[in-house]
Amino acid sequence: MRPAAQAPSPLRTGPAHARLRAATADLHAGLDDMFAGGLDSPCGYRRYVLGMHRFALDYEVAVGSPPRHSAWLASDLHSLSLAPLPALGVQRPAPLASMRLGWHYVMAGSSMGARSLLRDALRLGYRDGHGATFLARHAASDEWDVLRERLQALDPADAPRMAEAEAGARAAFGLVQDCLRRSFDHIPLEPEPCR
Amino acid sequence: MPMTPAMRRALETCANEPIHLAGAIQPHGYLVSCRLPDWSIQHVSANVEALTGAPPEAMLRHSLREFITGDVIQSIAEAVDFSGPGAPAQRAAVTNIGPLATLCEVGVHVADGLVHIEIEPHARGASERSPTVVAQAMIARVAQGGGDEALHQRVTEQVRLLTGYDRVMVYRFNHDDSGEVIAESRDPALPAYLGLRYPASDIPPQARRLYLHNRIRLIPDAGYTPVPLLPDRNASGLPLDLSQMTLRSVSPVHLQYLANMGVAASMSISIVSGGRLWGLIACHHRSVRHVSPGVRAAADLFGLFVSMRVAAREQQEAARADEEARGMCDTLALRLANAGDARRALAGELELLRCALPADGVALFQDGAWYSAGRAPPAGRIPALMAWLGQASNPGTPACTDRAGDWGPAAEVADGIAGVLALPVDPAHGDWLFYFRREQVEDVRWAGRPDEPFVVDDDGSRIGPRMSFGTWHETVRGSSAPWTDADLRTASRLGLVLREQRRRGGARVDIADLRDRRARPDVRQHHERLVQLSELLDGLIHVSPGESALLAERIARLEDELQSLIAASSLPAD
Repeated sequence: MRPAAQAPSPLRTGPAHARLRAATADLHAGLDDMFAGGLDSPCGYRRYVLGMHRFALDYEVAVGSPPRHSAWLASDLHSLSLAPLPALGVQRPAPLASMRLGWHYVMAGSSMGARSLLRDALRLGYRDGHGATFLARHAASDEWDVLRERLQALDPADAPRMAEAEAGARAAFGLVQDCLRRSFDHIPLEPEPCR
Repeated sequence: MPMTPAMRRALETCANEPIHLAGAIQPHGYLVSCRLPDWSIQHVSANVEALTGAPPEAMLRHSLREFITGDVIQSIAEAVDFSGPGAPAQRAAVTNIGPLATLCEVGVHVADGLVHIEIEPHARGASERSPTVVAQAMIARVAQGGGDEALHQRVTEQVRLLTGYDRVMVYRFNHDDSGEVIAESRDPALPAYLGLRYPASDIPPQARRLYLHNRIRLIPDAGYTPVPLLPDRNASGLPLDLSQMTLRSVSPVHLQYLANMGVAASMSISIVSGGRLWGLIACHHRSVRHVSPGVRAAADLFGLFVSMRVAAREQQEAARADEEARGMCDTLALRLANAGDARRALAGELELLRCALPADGVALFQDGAWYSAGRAPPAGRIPALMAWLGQASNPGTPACTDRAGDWGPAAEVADGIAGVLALPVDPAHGDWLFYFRREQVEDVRWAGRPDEPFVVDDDGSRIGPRMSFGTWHETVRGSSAPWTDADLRTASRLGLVLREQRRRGGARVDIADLRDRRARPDVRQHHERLVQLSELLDGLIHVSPGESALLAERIARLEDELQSLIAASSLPAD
C-alpha cells in the first residue's frame, strides 16, 4: 500500500512482521485500491491529509502517545484551509502492549510509504511547513526501524500475543479505511475545484 | 407547503448534526484544558505554539505552571471556584502570556471534569470601559417607557452602538420555532429584514438547546479555517463536548449559510424567558469584525437584562390571564353548584365559558346533544371532531390544533373556523367542551423559500443552505392563532372545575367560602409550592422520552391522590 503502510522487502523483516503482513493483507490491498492513482491531484492529496488526520488522532488515543502525527497533520489542514473530520463513536486506549504494537505497525509502516507520497506532494507544490509537514517529517522519522526492533522481540510462536498484535493491526487498518472513506465523502473529486 | 423526501432527509441530517462535538475551535483564540489539582494539560488547540512557543507535544501532560505564571493560575482557580461545573465561561484575567508576552483575555469554565481555559489575544490599543458600567448605561437607555415594540427597537440600537455591527436584529421564535425579525437597526445601505420570517430549520433544535446555556456566540470571520483540538476525545474516549466553549467551531453548514447571506462576521445573544429560548439579538457585519471579550461581557449583561424584561412582561400577562381565568372558574363553579341540575346548567353557561379563553366560539357536546355559542361549526361536524380527538388525544385528556386540516376538510375553512381546543368534561359519558378560533389568513414574507431551506445534491449526500434569501411571499390559510401555554393552563383549570363539579354532584358552594379558604396562609402556601414545582418542571430541558413518560405517570398518580384527598375532605362530617 502506498499511502498508509508500504510493505518493505520480506528479506529485511522477521517472522512476526511477516505474520502481521499476512494477517492484514486484505485490508492493505483495500487501502491500495483507494489510492490507485497515487496522490496525483490536489483533491486526492486533500482527501489523504484529511483522512490521515482523523486516523492519527484516534491512533494516538489507542496507543497513548502524545499528539505528534496529528499535530503535523493539523498544520497541513491549516495550510489547506480544511476543517478536521469530527470524532465519531468511542476510541479507547488499546489495553495490551501487543495490541498497541499492532497499531504501531500500521502507523510506522506508513512512514515507508510516506517517502514516495512526499515526492507526489512536492510535485503538487506542498512542502514541509506548507501542506506537507506530516509527510516530510514522517518520511524522515526512524519509526519503522524502532518498530522492526520491537517486532523482532515478538515471538511468533506466542500465539496469544501474536493474535493480539494482529487484532491491533487489523483495527488500525480498519480505522484508516473508515477515515479515508469519510474524507472521500467529504471532498468530492473534480469537476469541483480543489484549492 | 409540501417538502420533497430529499429535503426532509436534509432537515433530519441537519437537526441531528452533533455541533457540540466539532473537535475544533475558531482561530481567534487558543484552548488549554487542565486536570486539577496538578494543572496537568490534557487538551490544547493545535495553534497553541503561536502563543506559548511550545508545540502541543511539549505541553500535553505537563503542568500549566510551566507556561503560565502563578498569579494567572491563581486568578483562574478563583474563577473556577466562583463559577462551578456547568456554568458558562467566566472572564478570569487579562495578562501577558508566552515568550512574546502577548496581552490576552483569559476565560474559563469547568466541564467533563476539566478546567477549560480559553485565551484570546487582546485587541491592540483597545481601551475598554468596565462591562458593568457599559451595560448599566445601555440598560438605562432602553428602560424608558413604551411598549414592547419600542423596547426591542431600542435594544437593537443600543447593541449596534456598542458593537458597531452593520445590522442588529431582535429575532423572535414563533410557536412553530420559525423566527421573525421584530426589530432592526441597520446601515441604511443594507436592505431591511424587518418582518421577514425564517424557517425553524435555520436554527435547528440542537443549536437552540446550546443557545440556552451559552448565551453569547461570536464568529469574527465566517471564512475561518477551524483549529483542531489535540486530542479531540476525553478520557473516556468520547468526542470532547465543546457546548460551553466560547471559541467552539460552528457547523460548516452555518458558515455557508452566512456566506450565502453576504455576512462575514456575526454575533448573537440569547433572550431567554421562562427557561425557554424566546429569541435572539442577532448581529451581522459585511466584513470581518472582532468584538472583544469586554464588549461581549457588556452585551451579555445587557442580554440578561433584556431576557428579564421579556420574562417579566410574559409573567405579567400570564398572571393577568390566570387571574381572569380563576375569577371565571369561581363564578362557574358557584353557578353550577347552586343550580338544581348542574348538567343542564352547564349548557346554559356557554357565554360565560366563552370568556375563559380568547376564542371565537364555544360548543358543548353533552348526552349526544350539541350546544354552541359564538362562532362554532354545525353539529354535522361532530363525527369529524370525534375522529380527530380519537387520534390526537389520549382518552380523557385535552387536545388542540390551530390547523383546520387536522380535524376537518379544507372546505370547513370556508366557515371561517380553523383552531379547536377540546376539553373532556365527563370522560365516562363522552362529554366534551370545544373552543374554536377562526381562520387567520396571513401574508408571510419569508427570507427564501421555506419549503426549500437547503440545497441538496442529486443523491442527497451533500447538503448546503439555500442560496437565495430573497423575500418569498406566502399566503397562509387554514390556520388560526395558535393556542398558547397560558390558554392550555386555563383550559386545564377549567377542565378540573368541570370534572370536579360532575364528581361532587350538587354540593352547594358559597363564593365567600371560596375566597376565605384561598386567603388562609396554609392554602396559599400549598398553592405556592405547587407553582414552584411547576416552574421546576418548566426548567427541565434535557428530558428523554422515557423520563418524560415517568414524570407524566408520577404527576397523574399525584393528581389522583390529591383528588381522593379532596373528595374525602369534602364529605360531610358525621
